[in-house]
Amino acid sequence: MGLLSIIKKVKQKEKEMRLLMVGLDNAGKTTIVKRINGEDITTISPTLGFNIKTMQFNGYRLNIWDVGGQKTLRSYWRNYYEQTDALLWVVDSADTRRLEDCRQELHSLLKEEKLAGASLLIFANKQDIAGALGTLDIEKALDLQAMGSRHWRIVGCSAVTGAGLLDGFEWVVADIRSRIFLLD
Amino acid sequence: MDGAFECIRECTYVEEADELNSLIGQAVANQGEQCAAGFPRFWQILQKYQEQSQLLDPHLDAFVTPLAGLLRAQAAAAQPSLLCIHTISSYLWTVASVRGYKTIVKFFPNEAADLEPVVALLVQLAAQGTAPSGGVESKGEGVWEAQCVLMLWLSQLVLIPFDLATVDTSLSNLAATDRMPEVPPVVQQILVLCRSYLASPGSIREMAALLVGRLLTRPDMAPALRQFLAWAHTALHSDGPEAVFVIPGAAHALAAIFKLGQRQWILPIAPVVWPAAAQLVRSPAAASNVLARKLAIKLVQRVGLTFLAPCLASWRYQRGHVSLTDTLARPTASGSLAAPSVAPAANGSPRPSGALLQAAHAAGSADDDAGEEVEVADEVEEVVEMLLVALRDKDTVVRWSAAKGLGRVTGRLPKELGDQVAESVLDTFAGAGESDTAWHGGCLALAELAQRGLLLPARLVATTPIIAQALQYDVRRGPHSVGAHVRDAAAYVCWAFARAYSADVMAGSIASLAPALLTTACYDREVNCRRAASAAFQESLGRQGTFPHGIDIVTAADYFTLSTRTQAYLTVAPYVAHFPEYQAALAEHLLHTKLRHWEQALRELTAKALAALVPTNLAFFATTAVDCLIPLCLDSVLEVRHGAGLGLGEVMLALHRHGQALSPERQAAVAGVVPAIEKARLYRGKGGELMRSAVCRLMECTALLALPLTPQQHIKLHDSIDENLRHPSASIQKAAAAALHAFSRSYLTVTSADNLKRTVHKYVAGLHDANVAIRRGYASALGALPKLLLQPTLRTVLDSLAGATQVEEDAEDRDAESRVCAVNALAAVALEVFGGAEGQGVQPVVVERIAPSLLAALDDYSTDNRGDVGSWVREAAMGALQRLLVLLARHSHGQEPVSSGMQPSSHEGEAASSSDIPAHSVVSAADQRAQLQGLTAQVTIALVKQAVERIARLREAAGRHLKTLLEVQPGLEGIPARSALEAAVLLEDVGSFATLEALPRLALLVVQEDYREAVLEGLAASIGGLDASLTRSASAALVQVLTATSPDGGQSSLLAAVASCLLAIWAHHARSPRMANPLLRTLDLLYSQTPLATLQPGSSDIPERVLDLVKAEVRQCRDIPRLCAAVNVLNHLAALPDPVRSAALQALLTLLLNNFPKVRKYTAEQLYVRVLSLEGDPSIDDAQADSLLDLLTETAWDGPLEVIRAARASLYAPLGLTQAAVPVRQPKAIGGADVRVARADENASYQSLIDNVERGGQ
Repeated sequence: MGLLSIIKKVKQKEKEMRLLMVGLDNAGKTTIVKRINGEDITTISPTLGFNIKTMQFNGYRLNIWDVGGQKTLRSYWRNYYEQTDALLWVVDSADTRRLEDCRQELHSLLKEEKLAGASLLIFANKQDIAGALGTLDIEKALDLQAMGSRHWRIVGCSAVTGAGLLDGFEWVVADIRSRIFLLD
Repeated sequence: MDGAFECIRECTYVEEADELNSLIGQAVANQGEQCAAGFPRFWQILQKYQEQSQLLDPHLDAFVTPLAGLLRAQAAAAQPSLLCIHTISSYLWTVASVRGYKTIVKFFPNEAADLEPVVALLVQLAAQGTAPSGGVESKGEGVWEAQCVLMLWLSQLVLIPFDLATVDTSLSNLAATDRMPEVPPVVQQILVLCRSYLASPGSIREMAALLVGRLLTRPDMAPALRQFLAWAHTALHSDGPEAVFVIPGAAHALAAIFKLGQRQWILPIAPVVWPAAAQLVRSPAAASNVLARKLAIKLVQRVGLTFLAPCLASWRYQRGHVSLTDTLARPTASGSLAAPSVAPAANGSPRPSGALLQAAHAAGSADDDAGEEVEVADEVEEVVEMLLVALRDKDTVVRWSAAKGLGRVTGRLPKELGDQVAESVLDTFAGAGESDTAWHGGCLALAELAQRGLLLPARLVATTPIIAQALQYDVRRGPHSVGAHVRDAAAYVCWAFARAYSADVMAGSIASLAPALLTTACYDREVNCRRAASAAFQESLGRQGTFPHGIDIVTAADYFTLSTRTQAYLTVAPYVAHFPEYQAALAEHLLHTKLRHWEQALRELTAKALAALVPTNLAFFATTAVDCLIPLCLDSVLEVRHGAGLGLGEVMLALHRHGQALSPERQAAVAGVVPAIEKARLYRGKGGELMRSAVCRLMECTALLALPLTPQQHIKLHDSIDENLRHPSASIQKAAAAALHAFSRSYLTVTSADNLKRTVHKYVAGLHDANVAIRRGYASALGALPKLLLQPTLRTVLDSLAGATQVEEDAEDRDAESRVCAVNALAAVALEVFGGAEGQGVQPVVVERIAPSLLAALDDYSTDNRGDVGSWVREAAMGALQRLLVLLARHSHGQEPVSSGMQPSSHEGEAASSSDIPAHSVVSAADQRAQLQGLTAQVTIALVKQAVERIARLREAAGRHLKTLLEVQPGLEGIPARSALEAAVLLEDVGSFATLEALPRLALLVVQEDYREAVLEGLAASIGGLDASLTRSASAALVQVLTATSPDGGQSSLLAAVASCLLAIWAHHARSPRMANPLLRTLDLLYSQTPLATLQPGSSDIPERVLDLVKAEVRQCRDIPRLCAAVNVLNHLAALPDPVRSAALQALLTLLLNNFPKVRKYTAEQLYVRVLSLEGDPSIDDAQADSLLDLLTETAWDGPLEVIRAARASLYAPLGLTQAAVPVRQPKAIGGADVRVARADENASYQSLIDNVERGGQ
């Protein structure tokens, strides 16, 4: 049994879920990760590279991969060592100018074969800022109805206050559980 | 296992869920009968999900519940149908084995009432199993599955929360006053079953162990447990033939008891079992039985755990886990959304309860230890000792089990002891003599300890160098090496470390692990190790923070890019090495480790990889690396000196390419290497050939750099090249020719008489040497020489080479490889001399001196015991002709009409540099053009023929060359019927020539007069070939062209033209062993599938010509397939009007007396068919026909000739023939073959043998 099969086995035995945190730069991905990790969120600079954070939630171990806003980091989501269970797509709800960019990026990412089965959670972040779009508007702007059979959900949240984050994680964990940890 | 991991396509859901459901539905609806047919399909689908069985989870309820329900109904029935149970169990067990029985059993019904029927059923099955008759229903299928499934179910049923005595109906009849038995009878029954199954091989033993574990750990089972222990004790010491099964079985059952039992319940029996367990580990039974050893270790581990209190070691290192629910208090109604800014201190800091557990370092928890007061039983030390020994076990499963056990046991030990365990694990690596298994086991244990936090951070410093070493672990063992499993396990350790420790703890170790991981990721021989190292690196990067350039590297070195060794070595590694942090580690690894690897191909790749690293640090390679490699070229170990020689050459070349010069001392040192190697006699003996090719490459590189040589070195190198040119190995000759190519250009720069003597004259003289190695090598050498040396004696060179391309007169001398070398050299010389810008006078030389021999080489169909070796010559000739035509096309455009003779070379005009080719008279431009067009046409036609011939490789080559010629710019003139050819060739992919898809298009060229003969000859060869699919395709292609209705209705004239062309080919190849059979078969095909028969004797001379040729082929022929093919054609001819009919029949009747019984019989059969078709024909009346048929069927034509001769005589009259007064020859024994004919047909006899075998003997 080599490492690659150990990784698979550990993932099942330890009830691990691999969540990929993606989105345009400045959407607030790292802030969300720090917020749920209980870290200081006052100073956050653009993420270079990526961080894996492990958290316990409802009896599962979430491995959250915070991939910077860089576009070209294909190898993170094209990770053949482990299956990606869910995509957490973070949107800056207040940045209406870049919503079209955001839509294009999201849809091109979802074309990736390796992500075919992954659940999609969209965090409409920065709801605490005045003028932020609501989830319905963002749903429309990102053309989420075109997802077809994929399991998806959009949740409004604020990384700063922490509002909405728990809802989002609860949904995504339940959704993954219903697919892969059905009987545990 | 890794292989399976890769090749199985990942799915995201169960595609066949509906099909599976319906298969199960059928099975249930039929009550398990007549559904055996669906089972293979069911099994097949489920196998697909072996690797991703969790995908089945959503469907398990639907799969298992109905099947289990049916099983239950059967169990409860008065007369259970065993067939039904077998079938249902096969389905259930398939699901269980794919998804795991623990998951499946949850869907089984769980009622106390089921217990007894299931036991009864098992007893029945067991009885049936022992009875040899087995009953009518039993076919032996599904029996063991039924036992497994029922035992599994029973293991669930025995968990019922009532006293088992109360469900035992046999006890209910007892009067209240009777003493209850200690063990209820039903339990006794179960245990009897279990004991017998524990001694049997297969899955049933595992189920029995599980059942025992579940049953005997019930609190009401103490007496039964005592009984069982007594049995188990005996079983563990058994040494009969059944020991091999019963010992693992008993150990498994005991391990299950200790695993499942509550501690206070099993603690008392632990001291009882322990001696037996300890004894088992050391027993000879375990030593020879992997499974017994593994289960013994498992038992030891479980007993050991029982001795220890079940507490998590407080001293363990914890990285700390964050709980989402803790950090994210649900926003209350007051809504933090409203509050735009929240004091980060309030949210960010950990709660007092310690939601964010900071790493609890050992120092911090010392107080806890003091209060723990753990008493450690003496046995524990022995347990740990045994597990540590088992880490070195020779079998992987045992090592795994030991590593797991060590992790579990250590987790319950007090700090001091636990840390001692870690120390002992590290000692596993210490001994210099430790085997690879110890390293592997040690790595597994380290990873296990790290994952459980039992390897304290203080130990990391000592651990890291060991892991870095394990990542490169590779130990030579005989002709290969071992260590891939160690390297993979070391990557596992790194991966586990990355997850287990916080960044600040790991910071010190990362610096040494990262280069080691990347070295393995780039340069490991095995793909799984490269990927494992890359995965570990990625995990470390994500969890341990920043490595230098980590992101770029992770992006470049991923699962895919590392999948092929070449790409990893030549693309990924140089990229990683261009970051200075990793450059040294990678370069050193190649220089000191990989360049001396046991595998030749890997050393060769390493040399290239080394060259690819050169630009990352020119100074290092120009000094340290070269200094390191030069002495290694003379090393006493073959692998070392071979690798060093290759590496040195490539490094120098790469340095040169990047403008980095070697110091003069080093240049001198390198120049001295080859003479030194020769002086040390390293060419001789074992590995001499390997050294030769490496030295050739080194000489080539030396020459490419034009390193200064002393006169002695100059001579030595040249001699060395010549010697290697004469070497029998083709690869060495090739390397030597490449070396000569470079050497002559760097060091033989003047056309001196001496240089000529040492090269051209010598090589030309060797072209007809008796030693074929010299012929081949020297021909290749001529192709490698520069213009400077070739020019003066060009004519001699060309004529000699041209002569060497032809099949040698003396059969003893024939050597296809020599001819191939000569063909290639011929083209190379022409390209070398005329390839330059001026290239004057090339055309006449090519047309007059080169092309004729190359075209002749295209007809080289010689064979030897390796088969069609002429094909190598043809292949080479096609390439040569194509290259020459392209060259001619280039020169013919925009050229003035020049004197076609060799002009004295433009420079110097010395006698030495002028050619020996006499000057021609001036040829007019028009003539030149016509000449070139003529050659182009010849070559194209020849290529078309090769494109439809028998050998796929040649068809593909011909297709490729045709494409090149059609596409060459400026366009070639003189390609006949260019548009038709383009239609046939350009639309096709090159590969389709080999796969026959292009054949129909090419066959269309038959219509073109220019290509007709070529296509027909090629197709005929294919039709008569050995390959059935080729024959089929070629036949279909030809028939289709000839039967397609053309718009101008010229079909019959085409047919006539084709037939007459075919006969012309035949006349050309009359009695040729290669073509006779194919041509006969082609004619047979044309007569049977095209309207060739419409060419009647009166209006056309075709039938008569065919008849003559067939008769000529048959005469004295000893080739049975050919005779049979001739019979077929004659039979067709016999259907034509007279005079051909009578002549054909006469010939057939002659064949009835052929020496070969098989031919006689075949002829008779064919005649019979012919006569049958004559019915209703006016030329013969029915009575006659009937008597003919009778005669033909009743005579034993393969019998004695005297009988046959009489029978045959009576055939003449009814057929309207008169028996010619042929002088009757005495029949000969077949063995007394006509020697003269046999010699002429030397190959044919072999050919016919093959033909016969291939076609199953006609």
